[in-house]
Amino acid sequence: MEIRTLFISYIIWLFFVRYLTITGLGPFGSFARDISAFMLGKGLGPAADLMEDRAGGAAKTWFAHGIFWFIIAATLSFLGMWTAYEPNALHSLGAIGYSPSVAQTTAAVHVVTAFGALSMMLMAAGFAMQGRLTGGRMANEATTALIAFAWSAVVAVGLILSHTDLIGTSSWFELPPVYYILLTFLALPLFVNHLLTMANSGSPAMIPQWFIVMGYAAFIWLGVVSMFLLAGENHTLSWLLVKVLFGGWLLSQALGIAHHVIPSALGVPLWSRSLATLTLFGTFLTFSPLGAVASVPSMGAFMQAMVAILLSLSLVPLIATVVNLTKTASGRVMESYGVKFTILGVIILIPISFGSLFASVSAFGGGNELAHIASTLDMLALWGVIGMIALGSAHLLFPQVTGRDLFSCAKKKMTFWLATVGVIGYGTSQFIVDYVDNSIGATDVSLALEEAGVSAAGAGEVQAFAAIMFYGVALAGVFAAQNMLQGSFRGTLLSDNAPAANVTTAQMAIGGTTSIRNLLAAGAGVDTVLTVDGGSTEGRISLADISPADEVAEEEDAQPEEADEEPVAEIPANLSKMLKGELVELAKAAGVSTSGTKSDLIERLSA
Amino acid sequence: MSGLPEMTQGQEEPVASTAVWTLSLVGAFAFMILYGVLYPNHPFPGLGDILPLFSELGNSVVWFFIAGIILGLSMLLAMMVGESIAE
Repeated sequence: MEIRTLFISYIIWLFFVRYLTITGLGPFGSFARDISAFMLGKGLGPAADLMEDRAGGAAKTWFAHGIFWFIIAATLSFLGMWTAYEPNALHSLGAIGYSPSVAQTTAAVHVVTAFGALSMMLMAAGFAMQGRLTGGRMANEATTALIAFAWSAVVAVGLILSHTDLIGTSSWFELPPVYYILLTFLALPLFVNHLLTMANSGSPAMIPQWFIVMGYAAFIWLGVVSMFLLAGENHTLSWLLVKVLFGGWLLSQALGIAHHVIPSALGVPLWSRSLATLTLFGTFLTFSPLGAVASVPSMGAFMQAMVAILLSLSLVPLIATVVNLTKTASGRVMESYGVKFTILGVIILIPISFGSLFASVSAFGGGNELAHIASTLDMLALWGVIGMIALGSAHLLFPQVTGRDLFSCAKKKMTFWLATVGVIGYGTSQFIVDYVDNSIGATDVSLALEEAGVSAAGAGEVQAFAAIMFYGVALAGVFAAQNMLQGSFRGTLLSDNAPAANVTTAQMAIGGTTSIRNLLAAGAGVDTVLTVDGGSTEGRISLADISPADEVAEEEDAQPEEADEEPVAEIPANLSKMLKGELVELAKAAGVSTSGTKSDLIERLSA
Repeated sequence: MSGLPEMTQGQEEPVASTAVWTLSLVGAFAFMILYGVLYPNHPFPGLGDILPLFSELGNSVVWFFIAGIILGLSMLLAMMVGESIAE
C-alpha cells in the first residue's frame, strides 16, 4: 500500500476522533456513554472487582508498572551499549541459555523501552492529568488499573519473543505484527475511558487533553496498520509506522503532559494559546523527525520532496513548544523537580530534532549518509526528551494521585543529576564513537590503513564510557522508583503539607527529664502512652515542669499582650435605661457573662 | 507492678560506639588477611567460593554494574514488603 493512502487514512481517522471528542462520543452520545461505562465496569464480570475503583488508582498502578519497566529498559539499553564495547561480556550466561544476537538485543530494547517503560509512564501521567482536569477521576479507575497488569504481561511476552527467531527486520516493529494488535486491543478501552471521562465532564477539552486523546487514536491506528506488515517487507510502511510511533504516540503524549505539568506546577497559564494550538495540529499533521533510524532505500522525487517538506514543517510545532513552555516557566524552573525534568526534556528536543531531521530527510529515498548517528539520535529522543518528561510527570503527578509527596528531596536531586549527566554524557561520547567508527570503517580509509600496515584501534574505550554514562539513567530509574514507593507510604501529606510521623511508637518509657521535642523525635505521637519511670501508672507530665525556664518566661510575658488585645467596650452611664437585649450585646462586647437578670447584667457592667 | 515494657531503647550515640564498630570491621578484615597469610593454599571458607564467581562469569566489569541494578531492585522489593508490613 502506498504511503500516501496510509497517511490519508491516518489523517481521516484523527479528524474522526476529533469529531467524536467535540460531540461527546458522537451522535449516539448517551447510548455510547452507557454502553462504554458498562463495558468498562460491570461488563468485565468478577474481574472488575479485582481493583479498587478509587480516584487516582489507575494512574498510581500505571506509574508503578511504568517505573519498573523504566529500570529494565534502561538496564537492557546499558547492556546493549556495553556489549558493543565488549561483545563477550555476557557470554557466560550462555550456560543458562541466554545468548542473544545483536538484532535480538536491539528488538528487546525497542519493545521494552517504547511500549513498556515510556508508554506506560506517559499513559499513567495521562490518566492522572485527565482525572484532575475533569473533576477528580477517570470514568473508570478499576478496569484501567487492571489493564496495567495485562499491558505489563504483554510487554513481558514481547521481551521473551524478542529473544527468539520470530523477530523481523522492520525497525522498532521487529516482533510479529499480531503482537502490536494485542497492544491496540488493550489501548482501546483506555482510549474509550478517556473519551468517556471528557464526555462526562461536559467542559471543553483543553490542549493537554487533546494531545492525549489524539495520541491514543494514533496508537490504535498503528496496531491496525502494522498488520499490513504480514504481507511482507515494506520499507515505506515500516518508515511510516516508526514516524507515527515516535511523533503521533510517544511525542504527542509527552508534549501533552509537558503542557500540563509546567502550568500546573507553577500555577500559571500557558504563555501562548495560539502556540499551543499550533503545536497540537503540527504534531499530528506532519512527519516527526524523531525515529531517525527508519529508512526507505528508494523513492520517487515527488514523494521525497513531499516528505522532506512535511519533515521540515514538523520543526515549527517543536520550536513553538519550546518557546511556549520555557516562557511559561521563565524564571521559576527551580521551583519544582517536575518542572526541571520537563524543561530539560523540552530543551533537549531542539538539538535532537534538528539532528534527526537531517538524518530522516537523508534516509527517505536518499543516500542515508547519517545512518551511523541515527540510532544514537533515537536513543536520545527516547531517554533525553520523552524519558525526562516521563520522569517529570512522575515527580509531579504521582504525588498528586497518592496524596503524598515523594519521600526524599535528596533522592529527587540525585535522580535529576544522574539522569541529566547520564543522558548528556552518553550522547556526547556515543556521537564520538559513531563518527570515529564510521570514519575508520569507510572504504577509502580502511584501504589506506591496510596499505600502510596500520591497525586503527577505533573508539572502543569511549564506547565503554558512553555505556557507563548511560548507567546513570538506569540508576535514576532505581532512585525514582524507591522515592515513589516510599513516598506513597510515608511521604508528607499533600493535604496539609505537614511532616507525617514515620512510625508512631505505641508505648514509651521515660526516665529522668526530657522535652517534648525529644519525645517527638523519638517517634511519639498524640496516641503514644507515656509511662513515667518508677512504676506509677498514674504519673503525669506537667508541661511547665519540662519546659525550659526561658520559654516559661516568654509565655508569662505574652499574657499581658493577649489581655491588651481583648475587646474594650465603652460602658454608658445610664445602664438602667437600656433594654435587656442591648445590655446582653454590651456584655458580650465587654467580655463578661450574659446570663442572669437585667440587674445582674448592670451590676457586672458597672463593676 | 511496673508498667515498663520489656525493652527500652536509649537515644544516645556515644563516640566510642563508632570506634567499636569501626575496629570490629578492621579486625574482621585483618583476620581474613591473616588467614590468607597463614594458610596461603586454603581459600577462605564461603568467601573463597564467591570471589572467583566474577572471573567465572566472564572476567568482565559489567557484572559489577549488573550487581548494582540487582541490588537496587532488591532494595525496592524489600521496601515494598517492609512498607506493606508496616502498614
